[in-house]
Amino acid sequence: MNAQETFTAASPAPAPVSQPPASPFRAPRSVDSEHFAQLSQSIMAVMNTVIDGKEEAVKLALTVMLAGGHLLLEDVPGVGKTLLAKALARTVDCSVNRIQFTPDLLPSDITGVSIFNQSTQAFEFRPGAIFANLVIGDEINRASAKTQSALLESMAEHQVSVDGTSYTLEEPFMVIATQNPIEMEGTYPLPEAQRDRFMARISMGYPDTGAELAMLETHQSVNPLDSVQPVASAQQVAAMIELVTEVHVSAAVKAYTVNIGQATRAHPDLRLGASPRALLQLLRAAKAASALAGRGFVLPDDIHHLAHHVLAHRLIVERRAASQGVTAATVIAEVLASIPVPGGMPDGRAAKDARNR
Amino acid sequence: MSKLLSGRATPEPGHDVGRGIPSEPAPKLLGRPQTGPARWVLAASVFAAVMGTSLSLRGLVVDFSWFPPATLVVACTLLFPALLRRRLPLSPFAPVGALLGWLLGLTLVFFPGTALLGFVPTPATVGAALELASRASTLIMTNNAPVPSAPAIFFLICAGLGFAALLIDTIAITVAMPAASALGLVLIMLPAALTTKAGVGTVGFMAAGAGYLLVLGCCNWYAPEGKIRSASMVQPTGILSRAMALGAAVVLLTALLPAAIPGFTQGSFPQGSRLNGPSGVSELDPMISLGANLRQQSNEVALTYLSNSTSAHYMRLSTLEDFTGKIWQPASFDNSLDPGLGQLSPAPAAGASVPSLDTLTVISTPNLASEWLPAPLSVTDVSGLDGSWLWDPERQTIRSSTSSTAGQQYTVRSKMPRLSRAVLSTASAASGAELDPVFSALPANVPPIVGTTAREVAGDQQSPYAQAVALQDYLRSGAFTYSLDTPVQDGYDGSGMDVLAKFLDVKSGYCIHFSAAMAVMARELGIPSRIAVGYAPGASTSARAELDGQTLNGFQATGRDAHAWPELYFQGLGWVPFEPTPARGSVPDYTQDDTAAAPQASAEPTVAASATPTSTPSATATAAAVAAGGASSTTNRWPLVSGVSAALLLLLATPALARMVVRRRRLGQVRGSPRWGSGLGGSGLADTGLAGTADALVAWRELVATAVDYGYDYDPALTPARHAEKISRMLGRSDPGGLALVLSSYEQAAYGKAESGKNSNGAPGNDELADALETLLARLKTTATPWQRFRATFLPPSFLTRP
Repeated sequence: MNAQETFTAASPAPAPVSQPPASPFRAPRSVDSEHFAQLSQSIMAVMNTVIDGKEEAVKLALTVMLAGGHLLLEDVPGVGKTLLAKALARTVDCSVNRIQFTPDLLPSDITGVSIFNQSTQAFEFRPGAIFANLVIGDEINRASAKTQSALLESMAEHQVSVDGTSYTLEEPFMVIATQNPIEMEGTYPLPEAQRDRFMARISMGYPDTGAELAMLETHQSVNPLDSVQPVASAQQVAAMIELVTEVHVSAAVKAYTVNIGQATRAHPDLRLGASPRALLQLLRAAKAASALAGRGFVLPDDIHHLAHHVLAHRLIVERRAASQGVTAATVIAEVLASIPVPGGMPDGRAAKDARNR
Repeated sequence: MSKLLSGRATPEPGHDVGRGIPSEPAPKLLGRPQTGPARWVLAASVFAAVMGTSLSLRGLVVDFSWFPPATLVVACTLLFPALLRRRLPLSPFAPVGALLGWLLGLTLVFFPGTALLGFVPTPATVGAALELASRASTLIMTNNAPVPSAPAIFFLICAGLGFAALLIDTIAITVAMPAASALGLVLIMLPAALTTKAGVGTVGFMAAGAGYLLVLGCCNWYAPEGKIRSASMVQPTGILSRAMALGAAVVLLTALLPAAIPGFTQGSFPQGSRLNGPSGVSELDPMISLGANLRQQSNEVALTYLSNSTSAHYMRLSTLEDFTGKIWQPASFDNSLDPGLGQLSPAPAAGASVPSLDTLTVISTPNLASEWLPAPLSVTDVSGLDGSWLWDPERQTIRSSTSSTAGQQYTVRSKMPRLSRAVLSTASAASGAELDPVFSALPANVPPIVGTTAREVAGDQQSPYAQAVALQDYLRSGAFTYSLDTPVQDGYDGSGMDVLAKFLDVKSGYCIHFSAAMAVMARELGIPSRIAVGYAPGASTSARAELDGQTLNGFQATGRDAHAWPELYFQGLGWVPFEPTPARGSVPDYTQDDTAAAPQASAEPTVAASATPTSTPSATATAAAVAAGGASSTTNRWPLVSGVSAALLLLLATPALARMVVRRRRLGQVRGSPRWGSGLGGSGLADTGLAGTADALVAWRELVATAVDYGYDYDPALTPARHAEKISRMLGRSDPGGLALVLSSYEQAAYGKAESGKNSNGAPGNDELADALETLLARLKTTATPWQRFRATFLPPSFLTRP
């Protein structure tokens, strides 16, 4: 029952030093803002043909990808988590690996293993499933903590170390993991460190009536994934990610982000607040969201909107509070409702500040 | 008709709905009916102004029962033009409608019996109206203000008010000269100002001011340039609130000004508010007005009194003793006088050796409004008086700066020396030390004829008394005639030395001339003198009363009893009145020759016997000693009160003013800042992005502040977009276009890169932003409730909590 299933289109053969793999359409490295908008629009449009009525989740998934983060899809089985991950993988023309996590999955199945080659009389590295642009980790919380931890290094540092050798992963690199809620049978909860590596967690939720009807209509005979054609190359995505980093973040928004993080740490109902990495990822997600909205700067609204998705899965609620119905979501809502949104100074100080930065 | 449209510099779509009739392809005969409240509001404003101003008629009629019919007539007068203005082509005929309404209203109220259906006038109605008018004129001729409350008077008032309403409506709306509508209001105030002492009165004045401002404001807003606005409000421009604030200030000023400046509408002589019109007032001002009163021969009872004496008294009000200057006036008011009215003693008083009579007089003054209190000579005690009154022992007059004699009833006790020829013959003239020099001083310009005549008359008489009697006899002799009209015709009416010379030459005049001649000639002979002004002894009435075991006899003095007479001073006897005017008053018996005692036609001498023997006269000059205190407290109160209320008002207006200043500054900055930016930040870095950025921030801030003023609950934890969303919900209705612009400008300015706003997708121009902001502010105002608007103006929450 080896659940590892590779359906990569491109040849894996990754070298320790990464090089851009050959691609049918070579786009210029840099993408201007107009091109960015066009690309992102077409990616979302294609994904929406696959998944009905989940524009918000699609947009969030794209946001996370453009922010260079990893995505955790958590929901009950059968609402389209894997479909979303696959759709995203299909629309981008890049290498995709899928790992089905099971309790007996080993870390080496993910990272790869060095095998003695009889003919060359040498150990050679057989890369694991992680060596791809897009890695879909299905039901990640069914594997043991040890196996889950194998993802840690690759997700954070985009490299894999096996037998003392580090292998760099291709760019862009993104892990989309799906999991069932931890209360379900046969699940191992992800350790905090592992959860912290995911930029955002998305709950799909059930589709509404209309979308569900449409889904029943369209998905009866054909798999919508089959008709999906890639609309962007890996290089284009990498360039888009690069463009996102150029989005301007004002001092006010940074201060707002920090205030939110500190408020979670000081919150009495939380055992663990938002880490600095969490804030960093929140800001990066916000940048990506701004870029998707065609804006050159981050608004507090972006932070406000993404805080729940980015922070909720990292917070640990005190047991006593949890027993009273407090969840990470309610705490975040509370925090957001209490932190004043900093604005600009009317005398032009903000403008000067922004200029000097 | 297109000229009509192009008349306005900026045709606002909402305004032109009603006036766009000509542009319709097939206009109806009478055009499209006007909509909106304008014509009714205008009519109501004129109505309020007229009825408010009519409050100034208070002093003219004894009560207010004319008010309801007047309301009906004025309402009728204004109803018809308002109805006519529904159709634009009919509105020039609004004055005709007003005339019609006026006539119908008057007919309906006063002559329903003679009219068809109770309101259509017939020839009989005209006859009845003429008859009523003539009856009213008789009433006015025969009565002093306030005239009795009678239908004829009602008719006159209603007709007058209705006519004023017609006039104002025509001038303000039809002719479109709202400022000139003051004419109609002045018309209403004129009778009161001309004929009553109280004048228009504070209430009437304030109501007139407020009404005038109301008419001005409503005309400006509802009928700009004479064209009635037909659609509903377009954009509040703040005219209303500004007008209200300004109007309140003006009205308050009109209330405070008369209070702060005594003598503006009332107070000391001469009265500022009062014109000496043909219809007299029962108050005795010296000289001219005295003559006017006498000429008028008023039958009105000025005062009635009950006295234990069997004969009438001379009732003194004031005295004239300073003969310098062109016009002789009573002494100016002296605040150091003693305000009390108990234990009075004239200074200087008659000596203890002179026997005296105690007299008790109960005086009531129903129709006399004067600052001087009528009282007999030698008052010792006054009781039962309202208000604050001052006793002047030198002149033996009682006066008030704050009260009036109107409607008073009080009891006066006086102690008159029992004078006889024998006593007087021995009296000598004053040594001068005991008396104020003003009583014996003569100005340098005394005409020689006075002195020579005096010495001629006195002849070789030695005692002052004999000289005085000689003067009196001379003036009462057949050489002089009593005439009220000769002085006026010959141009020497009034007072002053020139008048006196002319009088001694022509030898014809009335009491003021006779008394002045005797007083001045007495001084020429060395006898101190003064002229007393008041009422000659009037007629006896049938009224009787009992007080302190004494029977009191009733007397009354009418307007034609107004009089002036000289009082001469004799050492040890005090002031002694004389009567030099022929055929007036009563000649004191102590001046009559025993042998040649030709009994005068009029009553017996003023002094009546009272059984009680006198005790020693009280000491002199207690009053002067106590003088210094007290009196200033009441007079200085008004400036303080007005100052405090002005400060209070300013304090209350502070939030509104501060908010207004802030808003104006911000709007100005948003609109005009490119000049600013380059001017201020000339150091090189500032001229591009800075001004625009700051503008966007200021614009947003002003928007949020105004929203907070109108009740927006500002939550600092909301992002700008959420605020904008909520504010947009507050604005309701359609989507306010400017909001997105203000929001995006703000977001760009507050969170964006300073440079990026400039070159990318075109930052909105300042004018565009300012326009959007102003539209939003106006929208906030229109969607707010009146209470919210009031609060936003006068108690802006953003004044305290700055978002």
